[in-house]
Amino acid sequence: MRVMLIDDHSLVRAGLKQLVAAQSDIVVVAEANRVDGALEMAQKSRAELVVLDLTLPGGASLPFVAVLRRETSAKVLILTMHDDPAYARAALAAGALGYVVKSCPESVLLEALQSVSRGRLFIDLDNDEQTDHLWKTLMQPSISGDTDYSGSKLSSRETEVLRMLGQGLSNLVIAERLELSPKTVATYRARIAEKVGLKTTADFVKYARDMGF
Amino acid sequence: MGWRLTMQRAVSPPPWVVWGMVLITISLTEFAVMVTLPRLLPANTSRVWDSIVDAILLTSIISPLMWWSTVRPLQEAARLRERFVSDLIAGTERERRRIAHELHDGLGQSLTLLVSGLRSLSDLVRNDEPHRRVVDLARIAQQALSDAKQMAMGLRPSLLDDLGLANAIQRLADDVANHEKLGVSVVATTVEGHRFLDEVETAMFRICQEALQNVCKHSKASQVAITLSLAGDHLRLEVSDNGQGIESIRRSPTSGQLGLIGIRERATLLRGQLTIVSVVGQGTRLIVELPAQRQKEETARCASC
Repeated sequence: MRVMLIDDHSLVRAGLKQLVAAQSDIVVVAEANRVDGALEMAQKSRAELVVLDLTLPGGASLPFVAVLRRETSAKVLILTMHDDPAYARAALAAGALGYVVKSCPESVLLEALQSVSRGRLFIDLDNDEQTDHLWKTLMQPSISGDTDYSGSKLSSRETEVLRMLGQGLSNLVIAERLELSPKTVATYRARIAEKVGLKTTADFVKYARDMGF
Repeated sequence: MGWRLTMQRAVSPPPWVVWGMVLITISLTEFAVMVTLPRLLPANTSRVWDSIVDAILLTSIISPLMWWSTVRPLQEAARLRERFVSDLIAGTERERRRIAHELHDGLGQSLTLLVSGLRSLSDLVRNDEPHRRVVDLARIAQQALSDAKQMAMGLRPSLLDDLGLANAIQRLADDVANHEKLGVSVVATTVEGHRFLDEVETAMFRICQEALQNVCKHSKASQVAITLSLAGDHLRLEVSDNGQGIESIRRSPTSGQLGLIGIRERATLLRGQLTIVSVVGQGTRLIVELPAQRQKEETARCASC
């Protein structure tokens, strides 16, 4: 698997490279210390997985996740200092498939690289309680606007639609089954897409599968 | 092409000097008017006419004097003070942001490598005693790391810059709920995904922080509800608790009063409004409304989060 590293700390990159060197199936094909020019490098090196730090010179790199997702087919694994679940939620909503806090042991990082490269969601906030809580809020979307604030929660109806989209059903079939108009289903779909950051039907299928729907 | 530096008196005159000058001006003007009045008016005019002409003359002489000597300097002083305070606040925030960043991403980054390295090492060292020592060291490094992160968070949470006001306030509420015996709820649904001007977000965050501190220190409340919403073109923050209420804002403890002064100052600087409603025994509601200047879409750091 071809991996690109984007981190402004050379020590972190060196550590990662050392870690990856022992793996036969992972190769580091490119490195960058900032967002500028990183997209071109990712495209040129045909990276399949980008390991991205969230704090880079010139500001936060969250918007860059969406750019990578749009312009390349690379999967994105966030490796960061930030252990606040809000960052993880924002990164996943922007299209990242993995989120690992830097203080995690190397074994966790390897697991994350393997997982994400196979297209599976991976989260470790280096705090079991918070990681579990985040998984739960991602998988069991809240039913109504309770006091708990979350940037990317789905309503129960949206979850239902997402589950059906995940089964590869068309808007029309979903509309029939839920006794809604196709237009309403399209609206749900657009709202889910906006909240979770999905575009194509394939995205929906993959997302729903990753989330265990 | 030259320029001249005008030195101004660094110390403003004491109040009695200013007061004396004002009194002397009024007395001298009145004296001059009374002296010239008989020459201006024909003999045997009525007392009413006398008074009218006297009043007009006095007013027309004194008003420009007062304008130039008192009103304008006062306005100027108020304007300067406002600018100074807002520069001071902006400077403090900039400095806090810088130090927090250094702590989190400089020192924190090194400590993180240390933690991660020691943890990996502990897996390799099988021997009982060395293994235990490496685990201990990893724990110490982990503590130092979380201290550094906590300090950075206390100075200025990076969440505020990266993910916006709603996320930063949610984190603030979580931290307060974890450390105090206080139930904290946050509703910010209408603000989700919106980003506002840096000054507005910072001011709202600091106001919320100050308000929560007041609740913790003085209110004896068990519940506090934070609501952040968009009301027309205003961003509205409401912090309401079920505590003992404030008997009188003037008579409240000095520290609490200082907190309120800080809140009012921040709100005024951004042309906002502060309302405090408090009934003794029934809690306090603090409402702040600031003009919600949105960040432009292109500059929005993370519009979709």
